Amino acid sequence: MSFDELDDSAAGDAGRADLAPSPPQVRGYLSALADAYGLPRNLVQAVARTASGFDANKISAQPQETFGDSAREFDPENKSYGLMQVSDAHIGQTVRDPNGEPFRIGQNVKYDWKANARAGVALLAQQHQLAQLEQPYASPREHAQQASLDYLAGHTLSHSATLPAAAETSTTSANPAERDPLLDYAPSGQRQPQPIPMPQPRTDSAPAETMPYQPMERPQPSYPARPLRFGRKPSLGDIFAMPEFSRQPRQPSLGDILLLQNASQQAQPTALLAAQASSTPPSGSQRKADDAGQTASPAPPAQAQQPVLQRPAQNSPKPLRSVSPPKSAVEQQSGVPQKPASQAPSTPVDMQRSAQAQRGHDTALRQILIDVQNNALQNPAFAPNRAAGTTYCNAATLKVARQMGAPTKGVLTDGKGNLVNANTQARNLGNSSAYREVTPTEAQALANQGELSIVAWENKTGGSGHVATVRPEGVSGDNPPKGSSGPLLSNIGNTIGVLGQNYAFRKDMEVHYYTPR
Amino acid sequence: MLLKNLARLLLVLTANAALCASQNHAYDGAWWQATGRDQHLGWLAGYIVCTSEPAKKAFTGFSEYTLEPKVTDFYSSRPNAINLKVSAVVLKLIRARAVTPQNQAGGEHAGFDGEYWRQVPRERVGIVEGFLACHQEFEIEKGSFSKPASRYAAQISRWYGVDPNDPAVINLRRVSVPIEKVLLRFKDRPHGPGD
Repeated sequence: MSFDELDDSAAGDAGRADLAPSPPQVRGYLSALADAYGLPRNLVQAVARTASGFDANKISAQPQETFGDSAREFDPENKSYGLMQVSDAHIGQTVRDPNGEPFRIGQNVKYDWKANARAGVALLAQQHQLAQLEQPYASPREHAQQASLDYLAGHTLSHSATLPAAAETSTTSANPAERDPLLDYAPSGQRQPQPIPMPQPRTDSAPAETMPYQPMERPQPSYPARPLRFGRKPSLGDIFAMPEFSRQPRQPSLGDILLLQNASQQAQPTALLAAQASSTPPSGSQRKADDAGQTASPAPPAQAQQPVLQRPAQNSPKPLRSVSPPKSAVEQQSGVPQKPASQAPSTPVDMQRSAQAQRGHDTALRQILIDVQNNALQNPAFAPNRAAGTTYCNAATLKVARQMGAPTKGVLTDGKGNLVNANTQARNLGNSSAYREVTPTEAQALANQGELSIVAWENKTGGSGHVATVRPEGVSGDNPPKGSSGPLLSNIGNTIGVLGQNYAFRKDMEVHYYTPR
Repeated sequence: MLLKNLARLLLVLTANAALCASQNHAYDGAWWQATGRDQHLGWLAGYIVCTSEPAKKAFTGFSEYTLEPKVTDFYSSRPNAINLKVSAVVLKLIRARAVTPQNQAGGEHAGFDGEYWRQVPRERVGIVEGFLACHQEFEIEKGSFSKPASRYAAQISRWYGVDPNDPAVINLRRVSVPIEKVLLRFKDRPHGPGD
């Protein structure tokens, strides 16, 4: 659905940009946007309520995040506007409409409440998508929780990861229980994070019992448990006191299916899935090990837990097969292993379904990587400080890595989670067991699949080094300089943009590429 | 004879006017909207190169990357300001932000050196244009520049040893020299530029 159609159909007589829309107009429009993006209506409504109290004319000062210290000074230049409190920092960012088409957040978010709602919900949808990818085992409630927290606390991707590391880890802990600010609100039975069973690694050649992918059902619109009166000072508790956020049986996600396949084949999961798997269980010791830069822990022993996804007993178990998507030229050259290959497919339907799921997963991962990189490229916090002569390639790379679920502690940060300089990052990447070195061709192939690859140069003469992330090829809007060669880089430093390795690095610079194991 | 002298005078005047027009380019909203992001970034970088050293303007907290969208938004949202010079908009944006004294200390050249020049092939002419605009605006007594910006850009590239066939190559002995100092080597002199 396009925005124009949405404006025509959803808001009724609110077809124009009223300065003071009525509450039904606002609610109707937000609900229509939520439906268009596939977001829970209550999530959008509650975020708008929390952000602005549904005040379309609200303007507030935004904290300006700074590097080097944990202080957040209020910058009168950076304000937030309207219903969804879209900030100055978001203006100019590219987000996606419900059809997936990119659009740029414009100045009109300051005075057009619908434009403000569109931009805010698009940013919220981005957070929600990321939450689903980062936490495949989490419930819809937890996805909504993470998305709303990232939106409200950090005000979208461009801010959340620029917070000082300590603050960030405290707000985006891998343990959902630690992230939940609603413990005081939730019933006691829901306070403890429920352990999520991991799939059993298969030790024999028998196919895993799986069920085909089913899209997650959108929660039906429901009324909040506590009546939310328009204008009442909202709280985060309102968001999750709603029935649709209560824990309920979960439908399988793409991540579930792929992980089951991986487990059944004893294959190494992709880096991101491994990171997700390692971050999902609430085991403190396991999380510490992961944070310390260790290789993602394997799934718990098969005997300990039951598989998450099982076919109903009345159905004859049929394995879900995976088929590698068509290889691109660079993939064929590089020999980068495709996503876990399969045993012989049982039925064409299973095969087709699995292939579709695989392609969908790759496409989603790639788009996430692109969006995360775009936000870093457009983030003013990473622009060079010309007066001080400082650049922020290290902070930008850390942000992208974190957003992609890659291990960062002890690699891109020190052991306490504090940002380290590019030289240290480059050195750590070479010594880390959480990363492996890959060739430039492999790095490009991985990026094309949506996997994180980092290029690093350690300046051994004592000057500044440089790090960057590898950019997928063929991204619409990218326009690297003529003559670019080597992997494409999302380069943030003294210059910012997408360019080839030969522009980002001189010939005399010895660069290395790494990807999470 | 009189007619011939008159024609010669007219020719000289026309040539001078054309030269002046090329040097006194109206870098205003119309120019901004007619040019692309690369040229914007280059112009702003050149302006910062100039102001951060000779004109001593504080660009703390700003770079070409943060200013470019702000200037674009400024002109987009104010159609009546189309004739306002880009430099005026930039200075307005900068003045709007309080600058603390300690933040003014920092790198003298803020990274505008040969390495920067090497990485931004599409912005090079804009860098010279921005520098010369600032140079002219503040009447900096460091000489005059009468050639087209593209000529200076080519001279700077040659001086740095940037290989047009291999962007990864530059003269390592010159790479850390600030762009401004290289450009000043090519200012007008009685005996021609010091290339």
